Amino acid sequence: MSNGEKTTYEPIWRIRLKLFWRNFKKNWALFKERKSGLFGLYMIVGFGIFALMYPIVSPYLDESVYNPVIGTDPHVRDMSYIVKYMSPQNVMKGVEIPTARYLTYAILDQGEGFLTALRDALDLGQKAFIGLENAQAFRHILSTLSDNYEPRKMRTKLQFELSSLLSSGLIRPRAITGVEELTDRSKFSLDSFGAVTEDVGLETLAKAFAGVEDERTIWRASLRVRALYGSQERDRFEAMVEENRGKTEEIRKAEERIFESVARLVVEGLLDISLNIERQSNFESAVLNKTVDTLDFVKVSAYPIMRDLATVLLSEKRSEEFESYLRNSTSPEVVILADLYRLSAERVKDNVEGNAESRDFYVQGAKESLMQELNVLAGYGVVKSRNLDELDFDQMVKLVLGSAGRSLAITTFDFSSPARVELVEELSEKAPQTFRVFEMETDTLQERVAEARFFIYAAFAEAQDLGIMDEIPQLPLGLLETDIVKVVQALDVPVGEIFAQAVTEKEYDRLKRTFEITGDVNYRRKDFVELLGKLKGQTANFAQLVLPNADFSQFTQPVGYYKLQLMAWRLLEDMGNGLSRSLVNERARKMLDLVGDVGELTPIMADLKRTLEDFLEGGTEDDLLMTLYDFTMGSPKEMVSPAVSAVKRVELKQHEARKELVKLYDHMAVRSLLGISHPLPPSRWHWLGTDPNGRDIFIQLMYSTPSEFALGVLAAIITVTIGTIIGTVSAFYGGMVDSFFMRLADIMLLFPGIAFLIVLSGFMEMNLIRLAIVLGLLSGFGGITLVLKAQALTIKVKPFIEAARVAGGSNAYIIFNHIVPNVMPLSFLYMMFSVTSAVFSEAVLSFFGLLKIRMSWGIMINTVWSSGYLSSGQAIGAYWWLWVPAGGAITLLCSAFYFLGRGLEEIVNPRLRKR
Amino acid sequence: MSVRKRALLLTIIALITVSVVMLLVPALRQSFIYAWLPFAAVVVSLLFERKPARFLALVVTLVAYYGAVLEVKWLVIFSPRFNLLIAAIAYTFAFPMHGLTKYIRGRVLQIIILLVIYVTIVFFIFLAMPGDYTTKFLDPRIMKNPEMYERLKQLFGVEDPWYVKYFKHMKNFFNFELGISFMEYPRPVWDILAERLPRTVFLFLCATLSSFMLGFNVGKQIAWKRGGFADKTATVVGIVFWTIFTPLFMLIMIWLFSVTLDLFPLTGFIDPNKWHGVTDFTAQEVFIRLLWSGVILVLAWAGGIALASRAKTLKMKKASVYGILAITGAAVLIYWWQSGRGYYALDIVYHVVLPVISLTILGFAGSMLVMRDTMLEVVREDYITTAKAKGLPDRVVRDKHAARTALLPLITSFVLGLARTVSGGVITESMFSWKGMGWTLLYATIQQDTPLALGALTFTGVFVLIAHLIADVLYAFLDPRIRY
Repeated sequence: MSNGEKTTYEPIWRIRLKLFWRNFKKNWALFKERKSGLFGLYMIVGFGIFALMYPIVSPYLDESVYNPVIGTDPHVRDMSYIVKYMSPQNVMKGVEIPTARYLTYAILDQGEGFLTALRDALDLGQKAFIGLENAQAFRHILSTLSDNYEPRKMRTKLQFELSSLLSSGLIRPRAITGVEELTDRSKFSLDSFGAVTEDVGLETLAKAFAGVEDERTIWRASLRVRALYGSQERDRFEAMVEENRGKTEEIRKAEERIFESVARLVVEGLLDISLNIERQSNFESAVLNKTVDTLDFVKVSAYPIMRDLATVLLSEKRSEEFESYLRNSTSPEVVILADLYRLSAERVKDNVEGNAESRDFYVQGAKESLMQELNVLAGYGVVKSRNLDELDFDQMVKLVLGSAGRSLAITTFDFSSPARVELVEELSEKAPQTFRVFEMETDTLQERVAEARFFIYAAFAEAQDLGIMDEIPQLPLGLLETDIVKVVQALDVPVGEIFAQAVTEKEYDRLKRTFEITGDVNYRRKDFVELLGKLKGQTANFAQLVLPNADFSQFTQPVGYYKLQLMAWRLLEDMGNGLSRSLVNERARKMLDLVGDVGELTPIMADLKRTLEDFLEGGTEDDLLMTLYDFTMGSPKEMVSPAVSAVKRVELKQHEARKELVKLYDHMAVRSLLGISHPLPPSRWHWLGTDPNGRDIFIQLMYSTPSEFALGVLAAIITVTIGTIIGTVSAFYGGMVDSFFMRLADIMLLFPGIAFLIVLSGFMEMNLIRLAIVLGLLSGFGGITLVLKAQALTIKVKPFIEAARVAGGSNAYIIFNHIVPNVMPLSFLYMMFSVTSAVFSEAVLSFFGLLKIRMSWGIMINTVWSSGYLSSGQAIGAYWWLWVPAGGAITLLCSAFYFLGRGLEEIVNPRLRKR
Repeated sequence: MSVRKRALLLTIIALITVSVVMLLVPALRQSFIYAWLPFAAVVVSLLFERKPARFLALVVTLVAYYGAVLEVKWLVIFSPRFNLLIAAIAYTFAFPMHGLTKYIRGRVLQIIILLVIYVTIVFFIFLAMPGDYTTKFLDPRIMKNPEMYERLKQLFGVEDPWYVKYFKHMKNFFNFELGISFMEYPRPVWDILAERLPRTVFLFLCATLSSFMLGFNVGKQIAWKRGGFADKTATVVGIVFWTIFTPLFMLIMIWLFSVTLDLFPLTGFIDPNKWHGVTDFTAQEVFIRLLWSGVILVLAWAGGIALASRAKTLKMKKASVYGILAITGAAVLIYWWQSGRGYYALDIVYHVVLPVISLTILGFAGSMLVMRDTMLEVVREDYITTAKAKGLPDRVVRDKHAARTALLPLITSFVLGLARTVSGGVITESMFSWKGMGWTLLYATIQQDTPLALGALTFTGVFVLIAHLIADVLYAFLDPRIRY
C-alpha cells in the first residue's frame, strides 16, 4: 500500500471456505443421486446415535442386571419365565421350597435323629414313587430340610469358633471323663495313647482299666498296648488288669492320676484333643459331661460378634478403654469377656491396620453385622438404641451377651431334654444376662415352630379336602408313620393353588408337556401337573402364607394354640428331667399369659389355665404334670381344627395370582434358590434377550458400538495417513524410494492378513488400540499405496505443479499443498473401505477369543460359540437372538461404510458415472 | 525353422539321450550329478549367447550347484536344497528367453525372493514375541531344576544371538525341518502340515473356481443391463455377501442347509460311523486321490478350452470342451467305481459340499462386483460401439468383445484378493471343523503351540505365493500384451 490507499482483500481462508462450500454442494447433489451412498450414510448416522445412547441410558439402568460385562439378570419377571423358560426341576423348586421350609421349622425341636429319620423316609418314598433306585424326585424337599435346619447350621458355625478358641488356649476343656475314652480312636491317636502311657506307666494304666466293665474296651486297650510295646507287654497288661479287678480304691487313684496326666499333657501341647460339637449328640454330651464349662460356651458364641465389635472399636481407637471396662466389671459373666475381647482384637488387628480401602471394607462389614444383631436385640428390648453410635460400653456388653444368648438358643433348640435342662440351669445361674436373651430367642423360635405347624396342618387339611390325604398325621411324630408320598403331595398344595389360578389353559398344556417329556426320569414329577389340573377353579387359601415375609398376625389364636402345645410338651419333658422350681415357675407364667391370648377356651384349655394358676400360687408339680400330659396328648382332630377353621377361603383373580406367583418365584430366584435358564429370548425387559451368562444383549450391543467406531476410524486414519504420504512421496520422487515402497506393498498384499493377525494376537497381548495400529500399518503399507501413487502420478504431471515449482515452491511444499489435497478425495474414499476391513478384522479376532478386551460384537458371538450354543444344529436356529444381533451389527456397520464408499467412488471417479 | 533353432533342437535331443542313458546305468549316476549335468547346461547356454550377464548367470548356477552337491560350507545358502533351487532359476537366466517364458522366469525369481523375505518376516515376528520355547509347554517341575533348565535352554538355543537363530531357522526351513508340535507331540510339524495342506488346497480349488465362474458370468450379465432390477438386486446382494460377517454367514448356511433342510452334515471331515472297520486304507489316502481327480478334471477342462480356441465353429468348440470333460469325468468315475473306495470318497465329498458352497457365495460377490465395475467401463469403449454398429448380435458383443477385455482386471483383482480368500478359509475351516491349514493355524495359536503356528503361518504364506504364481502365469496366457 505504498500509495497510502487501503485495499481490503478477502482473507484467503474465506475464499477457501467458499470454494469448499461450493464444491461440497455440487458433490452432495451428485452423491444424493445414488441411493446406495445415502443409504450407507444414514446407517452410519444411525449407528452413531446408537453409540451415543449408552452413556445416556446407563445411569437409568440397574447396574447389577444391565451391566454389559458383569451384570446378570436373576429375576423372574413374568409368568412366561415360569412356564416357558424354567426347567420342571426349577418349577418344582418354586413349589416345594416355601412349604418345605415350613416343614423344617415344624420339626425343628425334634433333634437331628428325627431329621435323619424323616430324610430316610423321604428318600425311600421317592424311590418308591419313581420306582427307580436313583430316584431324586423329592430332592428339593430333602435339600431344603438340611438347608433350613438352623440348629445344625449354627452348630457348624460354633464348631469353627470353638476350634479357633481351643487352639488359642482361651478355652480349656476337660480332656476326658473316663479312661474308656483313651481307647476312642477319634479322640486319642495311638501316639497320644502312647504319650499318656509313658507318663503314668503301664501299671497305673492297667489298674485304671481294671474298673472298666466292658470287655471290648479292655480288648481295644490291650490291642493298643501291643501295637506300641509288643505282645509280651500286652500279656503283662492283661494280667495286671485281671489282678486289680475289684480294688476300688486303687482304681480310683489310678484314674485320678491318668486324668491329671492328660490335663497336663493337653496344657503342655503334647496332646491334641479334638472337641466336636457339630453334631447334636456330641454337643449334648459335652454339656452333660461338663467337658466345656458353660461360660466357655458363652465365650464361643460371643466370639463372632466380639470380632465385629473389636473391628469397629479399633477403628475408633476405643479398644483399650473397652477392654479395661470389661476387666473392671463386677459381674463374672462380663469379666470373662475381657480375655475374649483381647483375642478378638488381636485377630482383627491386621484387617483394621491395613490400607484404607480394605479397612473400610472390613469396618463396613462389621458394622453391618452389628446392626443386624442390634436390631433384633432392640426388638427384644435388651438394648435401648438401634443406633450403633449411641451405644455406651454397658449397652455394648449387653449386645455381645445378647448375641451369645441368641446363638446358644438357636444351637440348643433341638436338644433333648436332659441336656437342655442342664444348660438352662447352668446358664441361669452363671450368666443371667445371656440367659435372658436365650429365653427370648427360644420363645421366638417356638413361635416360628408354632406358625410352621399351623401352616402344615392347614395344608394337610386342604389336601384332605382334595382327597390327596386320607388322614391327617399328628405333627411331628405322625410324619414318620404316614405315607410320605402323600405328605409331599400335600405340601405341593399351597403353592399349587396359586399356580392353578395363575396359569391359562394354554400355559397349562405347555407345562404338562414339559413335565411329561423333559428332564431325567429320576426327577420326574408328573403328579404335580395332575394336581394342578385338580386345583383349577379351586380357591387359593394360602396365598399370603407362602409368599415371602408371610404375615401370621391374623392367625394369632391358632398359632398361639400350637405354641402352647409345644411349650407344654417341652415343660413336661424338662420337669421330668429335674428343672428347678424357679425356672418352672417362669415358664408356667409365660404359658399362662399365652392361654389368656388364645381366646375362646375349650374345656381342656380352661383346665390348663386353672392348673397353671394353682401352680404359681404354690401348687404341686404332680398336678401340673398331669394336666400338661393331658393337654399335649390331644387327638389329631383337635390339633387340626384350629388351623382349618382359621384359614379363610380367598377368591384369587387370575391376574392377582399371576402377580403373586411371579413375586414368589422372583424372591427365590434372586436368592439363588432356583435358577432361570439363561439365555432368554427377547422380551419387554431384554429387548434382544440375554446371553448364556444372563447379560442383556441389547445393552452389550449398545455398549460395544462406540469402541467399534473408534477402532474402525482410528485404523482407517492410520492407514490413509501412511498410504497418502507414501503414495505421494514415491510418486513425486520415483526411483529407489518408489521401487522400495512399491515392492513393500507387493509383499504386504501377499500377506494372509487374518492368519497373520491370528498368530500375532495369539502370542501377544492385543487390545483395541494396538489392534488399530497394527491394522493401520498393515494396510497402510499395502495395496492402498499403489492406488494413491497412481493418482498422485496423474497430478504430478499437471501444469499447476510446474507453476508451483517455477514460483519457487519446495518439494515438501508442493507435495503437501498441491499433490496431497488432490489425492485426498481418493484417500477419503479408501478410508471408508479401511473402516470396513478394520471392523471385520476386529470381529473375527474377538470371535476367536484372541483379543484382550472386555466386550465387543465379536466377543458376544464368541461367548455363545464357546458355550456350545452353536455347535449343535437345533440350537443355532432356536437361539437365534444370541448370534443374529451381533453378527448383524457387524455386517450392517461394515456394509454401511462400504455403501458409503461406493457412493463416494462415483463422485471421485467420474468414469463410473452413468452416461 | 532357422538353422540355429534346428541345431539347438538336435543338441538338446542328444543331451537328453545321453542323460537318460547315464541315469539308467548305475555306475554312471554319480558322474551324471557331478559333471554331466553342468556340462550339458554349459553347452546349451554357450550355443546361443555371448553376453557377459548370461555368463554371470551361468557362473552363479555352477557355484550354487557345486556348493550344494559338494556341501561347501560357505557356498551353501541356507541349505543345499535351496542352492539347487537357486541354481535352477539362475540357469534360466543363462540363455535368452522370449515372451511368455521370459515373463514366467521373472515371476519365479520374484516369488523365490518374496518367499525368503516372507519366511524372514515371519521368523522375526516370532522372535519379537514375548517368551520362548522353554517358557511355554514346559513342565514347571523342570523349570524348578536349574541344571535341567539350562540344558534345555542350550538345546533350544534360547540364548543364541538373533542371527544364529535366523540362519538356523532358514536352514531348517529349507530342509523342511519345522520342529515337533507341542500340541500333538511327538508328531513333526511337517508331517501335520503335509496332512492338512491338501485339504485346504482342495477346498480352496473348488471354491475359487466355482466362485470365479459364477462371479464372471453374473457380473457380465448385470453390467450389460445396467440399472435393471437384476442389477440392483445383484449389487445389493453382492455387497451384503461381500461385507457380511463371515462366521455369521457360515452359521446361517449351517442352519439353513444342515439343520432346516437337513441336506448336509453339520461339520467335520468324515463321518466316523461310515468308516468303521476300514483298516487297509486311510481317509487321507482316499482324500489325496480325490484331490488328484479334481486336479485332473480341472486340467481336462482347461485342455478342452485350449482345444476349443483352435476349433472353428461354435459347435466344434462346445463339442471339444464338453467332450473332453465328459470323457475325463467318465474315466474318473470308472476309476472310483473300480477301486471300491467310491463310497468313502463320496462321504468326504458330502462333507466338503457345504463349505465349498459357503466359500463360493462369499467369494462370488467380490468377483461379481469387480466384473460389473470393469464391464461398465469397458462398454463405453469405442470398439464396443463399433461392434454394435457392425450389427453383431448383442450376446456376441457382450461375451466376445466386452467380457473378454473385462476378464483381465478381474484376474488382477482375483490375484490381489488371494490372501483374503485364504484368510477367509481360516474362518470357514474353523466354523465347519474342516481340519485344514486354517484350522491348524487357529488351534495352534490358541494352544500356544509355537512350532506348529509358525509352520502353519509360513505355509499359508507359501500357499498364497504359489497360488499367486499360478494366477500370474494364467494371466500371462490371457493377456496378449504379455504373451507377445
